[in-house]
Amino acid sequence: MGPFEYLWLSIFTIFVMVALVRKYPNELGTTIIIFATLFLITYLAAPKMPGLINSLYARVFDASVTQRQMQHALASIFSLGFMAAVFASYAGQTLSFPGKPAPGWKGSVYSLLVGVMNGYLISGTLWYFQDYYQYPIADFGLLYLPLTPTGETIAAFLPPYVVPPAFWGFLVAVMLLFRVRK
Amino acid sequence: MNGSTVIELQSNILFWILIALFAWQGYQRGLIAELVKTGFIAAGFVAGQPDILGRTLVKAINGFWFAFQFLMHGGLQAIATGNFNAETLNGIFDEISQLPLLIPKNSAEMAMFLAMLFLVGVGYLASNLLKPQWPGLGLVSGAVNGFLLSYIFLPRLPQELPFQIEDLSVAGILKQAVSLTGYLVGLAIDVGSRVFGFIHQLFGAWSIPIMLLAAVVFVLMNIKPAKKKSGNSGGGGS
Repeated sequence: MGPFEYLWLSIFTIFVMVALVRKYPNELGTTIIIFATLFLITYLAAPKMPGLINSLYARVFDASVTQRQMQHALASIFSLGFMAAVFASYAGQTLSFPGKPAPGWKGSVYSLLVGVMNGYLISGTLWYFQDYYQYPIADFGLLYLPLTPTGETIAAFLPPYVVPPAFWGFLVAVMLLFRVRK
Repeated sequence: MNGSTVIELQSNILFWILIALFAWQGYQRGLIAELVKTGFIAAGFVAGQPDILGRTLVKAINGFWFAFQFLMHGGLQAIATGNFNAETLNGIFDEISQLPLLIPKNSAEMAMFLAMLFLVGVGYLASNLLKPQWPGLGLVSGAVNGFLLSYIFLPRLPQELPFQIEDLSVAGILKQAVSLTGYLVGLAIDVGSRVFGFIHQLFGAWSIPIMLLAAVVFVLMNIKPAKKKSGNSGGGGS
């Protein structure tokens, strides 16, 4: 596989295109789910989960978890949980904001803006779970470390690194206020 | 044609295209909207010129920032309690004199440029709110706006544009289109990274949270309300 940022860019581009097709009132429904999931993971799950896994593993296998096993487990659980939430926000009955998109090029620009935001949040968060837990995916030969200088630069701006956990909750509250007001 | 003649010709063509576009827009929007736009463009122009209003504007913003910091670092408490002794005020001034400027000297030019863009953008939005009146005069006024914007922005473009109008074959046009697209993408990345650098200088670690919040609120405010159906559609009270 090539540099990690290419994978990040591919996922990012896909979500930008999806947003252009679905239009921003629908895409904002996905944004609110992403914010809520990030709040749950970074504020509530991340501090508690290692202890939970440790005690569960100790009870079942009567042994303690190694650091690398823990990193694999946490990266996998959070990535799968996050992907499941994103999938749920796109599949079936979806959450959306009532109203119509702005006509013409303005609507496309707003959809592009929301697509860029969702792409950054989704691809950036999945990358963050790898970066924070020291790239468990590299153990399967799917990634060759170290990252390129560009990759290192992008990795410093991944969403959970630059947004405080409680702020995700604040963003959800703001969006819900608009949802109710509409 | 030699190189400098081509560049001159390209600049002239671009200039007249801009005038024509803005004149057409003026015809659609009418005189009053265009005059409002002219006012904002003129304000943007003077705000963007360091020697006219730019430096004063940056100084004023930094001054307001320090006044705000004065209030936040105990000044408000001093005013509320009437405790204006020299020791308290000295303490506050010592503390705020250590703080960095909101707009540092090396970012002043970018701040002036952003202020100019902001005012031009506000003018455009404000002109949208007005009813179109007197389209003929609007055309003239629109052309004047096009002239003003060309005067402001054309000198900022690079001397050599990334395409040549000499080669008008299909292959030549395709090559020019690819070259122009590459140039525009590069320019967008360059401008984006400069703007982000400026925002990062202002807000530090809070840059991305603030940008996310601003983007979300901006887009949410731009959802047009759906027409209400007659009858008992939608949620609401039971």
